[in-house]
Amino acid sequence: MAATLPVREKVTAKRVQWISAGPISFEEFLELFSAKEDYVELLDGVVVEKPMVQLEHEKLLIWLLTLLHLYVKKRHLGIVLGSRTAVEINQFRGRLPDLLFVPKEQMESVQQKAVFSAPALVIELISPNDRRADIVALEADYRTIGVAEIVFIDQRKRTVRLLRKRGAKYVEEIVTTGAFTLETIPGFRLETQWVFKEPRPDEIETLAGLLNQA
Amino acid sequence: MPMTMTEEKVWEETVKWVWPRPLTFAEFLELEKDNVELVDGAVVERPMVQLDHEKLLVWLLTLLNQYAEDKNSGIVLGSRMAVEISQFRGRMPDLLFIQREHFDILQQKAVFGAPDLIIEIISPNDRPSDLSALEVDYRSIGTHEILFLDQKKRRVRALRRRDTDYEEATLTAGTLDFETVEGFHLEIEWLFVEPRPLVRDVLARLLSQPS
Repeated sequence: MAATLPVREKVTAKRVQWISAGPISFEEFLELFSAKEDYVELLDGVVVEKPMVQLEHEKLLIWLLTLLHLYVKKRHLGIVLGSRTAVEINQFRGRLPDLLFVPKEQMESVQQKAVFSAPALVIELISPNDRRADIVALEADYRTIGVAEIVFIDQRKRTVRLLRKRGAKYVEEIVTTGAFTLETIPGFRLETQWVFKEPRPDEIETLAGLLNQA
Repeated sequence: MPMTMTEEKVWEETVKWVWPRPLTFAEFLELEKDNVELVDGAVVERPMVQLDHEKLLVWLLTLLNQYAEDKNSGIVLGSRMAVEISQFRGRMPDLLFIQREHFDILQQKAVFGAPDLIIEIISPNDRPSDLSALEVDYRSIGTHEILFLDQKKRRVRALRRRDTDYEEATLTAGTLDFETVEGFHLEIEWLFVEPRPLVRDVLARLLSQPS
C-alpha cells in the first residue's frame, strides 16, 4: 500500500453545518433532523449538509433503486432503501448512503428513523464533483461497521468498484466491462453498459430477465 | 442534549493526502510524516499554531512532566505522539498522560489505548467542527479526562468519564483539579494570564502538599 502514491489535495470547500455547544449524538441528530427536509449527515458530532447531486446521478440512482427494490421484493430477500435513510456509524456519526439493502434476517435493525447496524450492501454513486477524501471517508465508515458488500459506481471513470468482506479484511474487484454480480443479493447481475450508457434498458424487462435466470 | 444549534456556512481549507483507499493506522505510522493526523483514512495536515499556544503548551508540559516524574505516577507525552482512535483514525493530542498502571498501551510508535488524560489547547483559528471531532474521538476510546483549554474565551471545558457517559464542567475561575493526576491542580488564571508563575515555584508548592 505504501508503494501507491497518494494524491495531495488542498480541499477548499464551502459547506453548511450546524454547530452546537458539544457534539451531537446520532440519537439527537435523528430527533432534530429526521422530520426535516434538510439533506444532512452527522460527522463527528456535527451536522453537515450533503451537496446537491446532478441529473446523471439521480437518473442512475432511480434506475438502480427501482430494479433492486422490485427484485428483492419479488424474491422476498429483504428491503432496499434509498438516500434519505440514515445509517448509524457510531455514537456521533451517521451516513445517508445512496442505496442500501438489508436482508430479511436483519430486519430488526431497520427502524422508523434509521438503520442501526451494518446493511449487507451499500451502493454509492460517485459524481464528478465528489471529493476524493470524502469518498475515502465513506469507505472507511462502511468498512468500520462491517458492511458485507460496498459498491462504488464511478460515473465519470465508468468503473464499478466492489469491496467484499472476507473475515477482517476486504477484497476488491474493479469492473469496467462485462457483467458484475452482487454477492449479497443472490442472482442479481448487471451489465456495466446498462449502468453507464443511456438509454438504460427498461426496468421491468431487466427484472424479468433477472428473475428468469435466477 | 445540546438544544441550541447555529447554522453556519463555512469555508474550510484543509490539506489532505488521499490514497485510493482508506489508509489504516498501521500504514499511517509507517509513513513517519510530521505534524499530520489520520482522519477517515486520509492524512490531514495540522495547521501551524501561534506563539501563545506553544507557550502555554510548554509551560503545562514541563510542569506536568516534572510532577509526574517526581510522584512516579506515569508518563506525560507531547504533541508528536500518535494515539490510535480506530482502524482508520489517529490523533496527536497536544498533551497526554498515561498512569503507570496503564503503560501496556504505550509502544514506540504510538499509544494503542486510551490515555488517562488528554489536553487540547484551543486557538482562535481552530474550527468548531474540528474540535467536535477531537472530542468525539477521545470519548470514543474512553479517555477518562479530557480538557479543552480555550485561550480566546479563557475557560476550561473539562469532560470526565462516568461509566459510559461524560460529565461536563466549564471553568472560568478558581482551581482546576486534575482527576487523573493525583494531587495536581492549577489556578485557572495561570493558564490564561501572562506572565505565568515559574514552573519550579508551582511544582514546589504542589509537591509540598500532603499526599
